[in-house]
Formats: sequence, C-alpha cells, structure tokens
Amino acid sequence: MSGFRATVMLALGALALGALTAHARRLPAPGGKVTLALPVELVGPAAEAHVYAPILESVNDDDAAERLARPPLKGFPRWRSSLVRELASQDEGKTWRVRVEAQSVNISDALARCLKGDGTASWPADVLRARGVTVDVSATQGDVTLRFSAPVGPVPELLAGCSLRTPQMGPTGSYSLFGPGLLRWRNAGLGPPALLGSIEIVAPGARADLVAGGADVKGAGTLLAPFPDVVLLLQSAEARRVDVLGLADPAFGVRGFRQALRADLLAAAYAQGRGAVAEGLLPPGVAPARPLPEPQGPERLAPLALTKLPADAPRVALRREEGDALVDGVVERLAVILRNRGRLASIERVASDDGAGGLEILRWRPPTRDPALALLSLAGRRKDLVADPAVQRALANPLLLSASQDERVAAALTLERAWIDAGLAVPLLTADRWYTVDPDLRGVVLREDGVPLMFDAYFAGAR
Amino acid sequence: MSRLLAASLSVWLGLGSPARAAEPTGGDPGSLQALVDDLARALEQRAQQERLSGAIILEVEPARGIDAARVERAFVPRLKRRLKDGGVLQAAPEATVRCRVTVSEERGLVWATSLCEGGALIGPTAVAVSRPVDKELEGALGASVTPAQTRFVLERLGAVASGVLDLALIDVTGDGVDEVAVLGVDALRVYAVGGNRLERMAVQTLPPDRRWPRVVTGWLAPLPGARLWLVTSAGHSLVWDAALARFDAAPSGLVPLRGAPDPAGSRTAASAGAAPPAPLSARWRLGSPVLALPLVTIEDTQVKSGLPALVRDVAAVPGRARTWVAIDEHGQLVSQSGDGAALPLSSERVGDRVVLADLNGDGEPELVTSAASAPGEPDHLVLRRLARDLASSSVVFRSQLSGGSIAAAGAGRLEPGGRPEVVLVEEVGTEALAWRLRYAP
Repeated sequence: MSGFRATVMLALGALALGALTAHARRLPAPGGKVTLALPVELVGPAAEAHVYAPILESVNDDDAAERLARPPLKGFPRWRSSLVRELASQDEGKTWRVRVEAQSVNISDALARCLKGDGTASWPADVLRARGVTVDVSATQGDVTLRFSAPVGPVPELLAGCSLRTPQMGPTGSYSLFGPGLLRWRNAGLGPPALLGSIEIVAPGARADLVAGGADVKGAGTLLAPFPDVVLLLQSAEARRVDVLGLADPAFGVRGFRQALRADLLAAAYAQGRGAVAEGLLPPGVAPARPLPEPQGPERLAPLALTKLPADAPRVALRREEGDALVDGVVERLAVILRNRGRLASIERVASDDGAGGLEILRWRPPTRDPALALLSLAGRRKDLVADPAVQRALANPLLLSASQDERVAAALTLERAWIDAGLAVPLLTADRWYTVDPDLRGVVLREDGVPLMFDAYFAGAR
Repeated sequence: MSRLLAASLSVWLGLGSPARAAEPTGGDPGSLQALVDDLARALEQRAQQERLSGAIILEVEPARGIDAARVERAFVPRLKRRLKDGGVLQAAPEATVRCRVTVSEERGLVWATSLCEGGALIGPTAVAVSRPVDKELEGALGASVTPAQTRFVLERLGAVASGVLDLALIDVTGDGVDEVAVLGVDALRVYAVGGNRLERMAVQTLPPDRRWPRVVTGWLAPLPGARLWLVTSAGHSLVWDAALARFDAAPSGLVPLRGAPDPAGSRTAASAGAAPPAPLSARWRLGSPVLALPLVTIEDTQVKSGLPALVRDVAAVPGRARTWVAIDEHGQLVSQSGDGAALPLSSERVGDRVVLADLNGDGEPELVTSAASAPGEPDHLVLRRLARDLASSSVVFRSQLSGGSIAAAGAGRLEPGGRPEVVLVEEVGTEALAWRLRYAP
C-alpha cells in the first residue's frame, strides 16, 4: 500500500513539475519596432523582402515545432510556402505544374516577371538567360504551368528568388511601406503574420538594433551571413592578351600576385579581419572544397619596386563600384602592383557598358547557395564573361540545370575552372557579411543573398 | 584482461581504428563504400564520355571538416580498389591524366569532388558526389556537421576581486559543470556560475613571502584530481588542492600551459574518462611574461616542437598530434605542425594569452585572443576561425567589452552537457568584470 501511495505521489509530483515547466516557457510577444542600419545597396532588397510575400521559403531545420506547424512542400523537404501547395515536374523537367493556394493569376504574373526578367532585375531570369532557356507561364484555376524550352531541374531553388510582386498589385507580404524607410505591419499579408509591429531602415552610422557590418558594440551579438562575398578581378580581352598583371609571367604568376596583393592585410584593414584569400570564384559555403589550380610563381616575392613612372607610361583602366571601402582598398593595392609592372592605373567608375576594356573589381555575392545557379546568374548578367570557347563549352552543359544536385555541382566546378583558366575572372579575396545585433533581438534570419529577414524576429527583453 | 578493457573503451570512445570500428556488417556496403562507389561510377561515366581509359594519377586531399589520416586510411585504398575492379580507370604512379579528389564536409553532406585534366582531355572536367553525414562517415572520415549560421553572444557574469592575473575553469565539485578559478595578486578565488551570475565558493590567500617584480603576471592550470597549479611572476609555484583547501609546493622554474595538455597524459585521461591531464610547461624567465621553450612534461621530459624559442603562450590544437598555436614573444599569432616551420596566423598582433575551444560544436576549434592595443586604449576580444590548413585565420567576432583591459581568459563548460564557453575577466578601473562568450545559434 505504501508503495502504491509513493507511486501516486511521484506521478502527481511529475504532473505538477510538467505544468510548472509548461508555464515557465516564455513565447515571444508580438509588437515593437526594430531599427535596421543598412548600406544603400541593401535598403531596396530588404524593404522588398518584407513588403512582397516570398513564393518559396527555405525550411529552418533547427525548429521542430515550426517544421510541424508549417510543413515542407511534399517531395521538396528544403522548401515550404504560404502560396504554393504542390510542385510537380513532367516531361523530364520541361514542364512544371505549380498548384497554388489562391490568386493563381497574380502568382502567374509574378512568376512570369521573375523568370523572364521583364522590366526588373531578377537573378532567376539571369540564370535561364545564361543557358538560353525560355519559359512560358500560363494560369488556370488553381494552377500555374511553367513550360521551359529545355529541362530545368532546380525550379524550387529558382522560385525561392521570386516574390509575389506585379506592377498592378500592392504589398502582399507582412509589411507595407508607410514612409521613407518605414515599414508597418499589415494584417492582410499572405502567410503567417510577422511578430514585430514596424521596421525602420536607417542609414549606416545611425543607432540601430541591427547594423550591417557594424562596429563592435559591448554585449551585442554578431550574425554572419551563411557564406561570404567574393571580390573578383574581371579582365578584358585586351588586359588578358597583354597580361597586365603578370599572371602568366613565370617570375610573378598567380602566386606572386597573391603575395603582392596581401589579401589578409586588406581584410584586416577594411573588413575587420573577416576575410581571407579566395582561391576559387565560388565562396566556401556555396561550393564544396574542390581541386583548384595550383598557383605558379616564386615561393617568396621580392618587395615591390615603387619607382615613379613617367606620365606617358601605359595606362590600364581600373573600374569599380564606388562606396565600398574594401573594394577601394583592393583597387589601391592593384594600382601599386600595376605600377610595379610598369603601368599606371586610371581608376574609374563602372559604366553601364560592361564590355569596356581594362580591369574591373567586382564584389560578388552569389544570390543562392546553389553553385550552378550562382555562376549562371553571373554569366547571365555579364556578357563579357562568356567570351571564351572553353567557357562557352562549359556553359553549354545541360547538367548545369540538372535535377541532381551532384551533377549541377560537377558542371559548376567545370565552369568555374574554365573561367579561372581563361583568366576572365580572377578570385582575389572573400569578405564575410556580418551584422551586429542587439542581444535581445532574436529570430533574425539571413537570406542566402545576405538580406536580413525579420518575419520571425522579436525582442526577448523588456524594451 | 586490462588490454581488452582498454580496447573496448577505446572503441567506445571512438579512439580505435575508426574505419574498422565503423565498418558495417551484412549485405549493406555501408555509406563510406557507397560514397566511394558513387565517385568511382561518376569518374568512369565521365571517362567514357571523354573517351578516356587506363592509367590515371590519383591524388586525394582532405579538406574542411575531414580528418586527413582517416581519409588516407579508409577512403583512398577503397577508391583505388574500386577503380581497379571497375576496369575503366586505374590509379598509377605515372600517367598523362591526373585526377585530383577533394573530400570535405559541407552543411551535413560529405562531398567528394574530382577534377581531371591532361592527356587527351579537351579541358579540365569535374565530377561531384555527396552523401549525408551519418555515424559511419563520422567515424570513418571524422566528418561532423557544421552549423549554417554562426552567432556568438557576450554576456556579463558579474564582478570579481580586482587584480586578476589568470583564470581557469575546473570542476571542483564533481557535478560535471566547471567552476571559475581566478588567480589574483593576493589570493586564489573560486566562483560558481549560477545562471548569469557568479557566487564565491572559496578564497585561499597566497603566502606573502614573495616580492612582485614590475611585470605582475600569473599562470593557472588544472591538474588531475580537482587541483590547480599556480605560478606567479613573484616566484610562487603552488598546487592548490580543492578538497583539502591548502597549498603545496610545486616544481619551481616552470610555468604550466593550460591550453597544452601533455599528449601522453591526454591519451591516458581520455581513455580512462578521467579529469584533464597535467599540462605541459615552459621555463619561467624572471620578471617576464615571455616563456622559454622547449615544452616539458611535469616529469621534466622535453616535448619536441618547431615553435619559436620564446613564446607568450602555447595551446595544442585538439585532435591533431604535434600541432600548436602559439603567441611568440612579439605578440605574433603563429601555428606550427610536426617538424614544420611556424606560420603566421594573422597580421594583427595579439595579447598574451590564447584560448582554443570548439565553441560552436563543428569539430574545429575557435581561437580567442585579446587584440594588443596601444596604452590607454581598450582591449578587444577577438574570436577567430582557423583555416583547415592552419595557414590563416579569419575574425568571426570582436568586442571591446566595457572598454577596459582583458586580464584573463579560459574555456570550459558552464552548463551540464553544454558546449564549451569562454570566460574572460576585464579590469576596468578599480573593478574586475567577468564575461562569458558563448555560441548561441
């Protein structure tokens, strides 16, 4: 009897403890305002990401409850959606049927705009353009059909780069634009409502809860993007023919060039040390480790000669986007290397004609983690990068859009190697993208292209 | 009998021959063999497309998240055998076509990528295969899943007595959670960490029989059996026994290096599941924070290394034999492996002490130092990620704390079953503040 009583007491005790534990769990409360300090190039993408509903979102593996509440798409465990109910391919990937929740005409318009790039910059459109694939988008009741001119395997990955946005529609996401840089919560958004009441986007330097590339603040958290940017040197045909940087010179070579560049010092000086030498075009986190060309050149480079050149010395145009301290630092260093090789550098802004001569420094952020799609997106918007027979041969490989991830990776690595061997693109350094975050701000998710998403964000402490 | 027990323990702890221990039984070839088969098949298919056959030079290189010795032992012989059996390609010491294979772990997948070039190939051609990391691949190749996003958070723990020279994390209560032992100018103090605050547990005053030189510093290292070895620049060399709450004399002239456990001792301790092994030591130089090598064990046996003769601190890289990270006498952070030369890890000079610990559980240690700053300027805490080849590092996290100077740092577990964390003490004016740096995904 006493044993029975003890068992009952234990069971009651366990129940009480269970109840206490459940009550002790503190869930995030909705509301509050978050301030984001973002550089100019991120303001537009960040605002759009919150105003327009994404077609597909990647599944966060960490949260079991979330996974149960918003399950992944059947057959596509990495993706979920508030707009798409089902995705299915036919005809070996040439036709895709997208069964949608509602507003199929709007989704059809948004997908056509995104995949064709009609009137807007869109990386999925760049990908298809690079492979010469066209798409026809049509809608019936509850269904959108995508008909490609050639098989396309990674359609979910491409749809993740699209949002429900057409010229006729207003906001479709959790927020609407209320004023310059101010987003307010709206209850008519498609998908589960966001937690925070408003988002204010301010210029870098202003006080904010999340600061892109922010200085180190006492007690703040640091959030790193899933993969770094890559700083690339793009060489025109003329620059390659003359070998202005001596990359083919046995006495200098890629090895000597890397020693002269000092990527570690550039990262320390301009990126708070969050960077390293890049050996490939695809950064770690996008492509797996792979065999890369072994750099040739001297084991130890003699110090660069800094003799003054006459004003009529041959000149090389060195183009870059303005306003990036790291890129400016790289340009300055390249000017020193060029001077050491008897040439003066004319530092210029990147013009719209991307086929201009000379050299260009490009800080490239792959828009997706898929290496084949990342390289195709670059090829789709830079015609000058496909002006080589080996590159064209690699780009013609249909496996770049294979349904098999392994095949896409293999095709991407061959394309990357063709670019490097041709000297069209020279990897210089990787630079991490980081955010300093208020320690009470939780649930911030960084999209693959580095844009901070605040849908699940909330403040854990009292504000 | 004891050998049998040791062998069982060794297999249980994953220390035995990993490939053999992980090998599956029955008809299932296992995930390692499946990875090898997939790669061989992809290479053969590509060879047929490119009209290639016969001998190739095969080079296999381990990369991110993969153990080099295990690849050599478990992956390479299987791949060579499988290619030979396939009859299309065969690994040979000399051939016109060269295929390089890289094996790495990326976001939960083991990847084997290969690039072949030379011979009649029009240009370099790549193949890639992947398989999810499972127990077998984890054991056979040392693959471990790396987190996708990295977030480190610095939290204030509370105030400790000022005049801090060093700290160490040690489990004095035997509850599986470390306490923070802080060596001060006047005493050794032990604090328990409860939630996010410190509770003082013990104070043992240092014997007042020594005079301090101009450089006031100290070193603290745990010893087996809940004991601490402390050395100061005043000449103290004492062992504190937590159970007896008293000091005993320790070897003089030596400084314990907390981050560099005796390799022989660490094997014994790991296989026995015991307390941390005794640390290696360096020679103390009167009144200087710089120590003289060679490294010596507690029994005064020399341990060979290619480290600079004068260092400020040394830490062993976990899981890699004879591989070290050190701060040289000028504050340069260097790495050194086997008999190789010391390589600079960062262009930035760092403070006196280095902490190596796997804070995010990705199988690779993170490196914590303070950044050397000009007098009057606040110290920075810097957390670095090491390149797999230990030839470089990149900064992941950096913070000024409260604008003071970082006096001490150590790593340990502050929560039962939790990840290792770093505890730091910062001297700000007349007070000393303790902080915890942890990975918070």
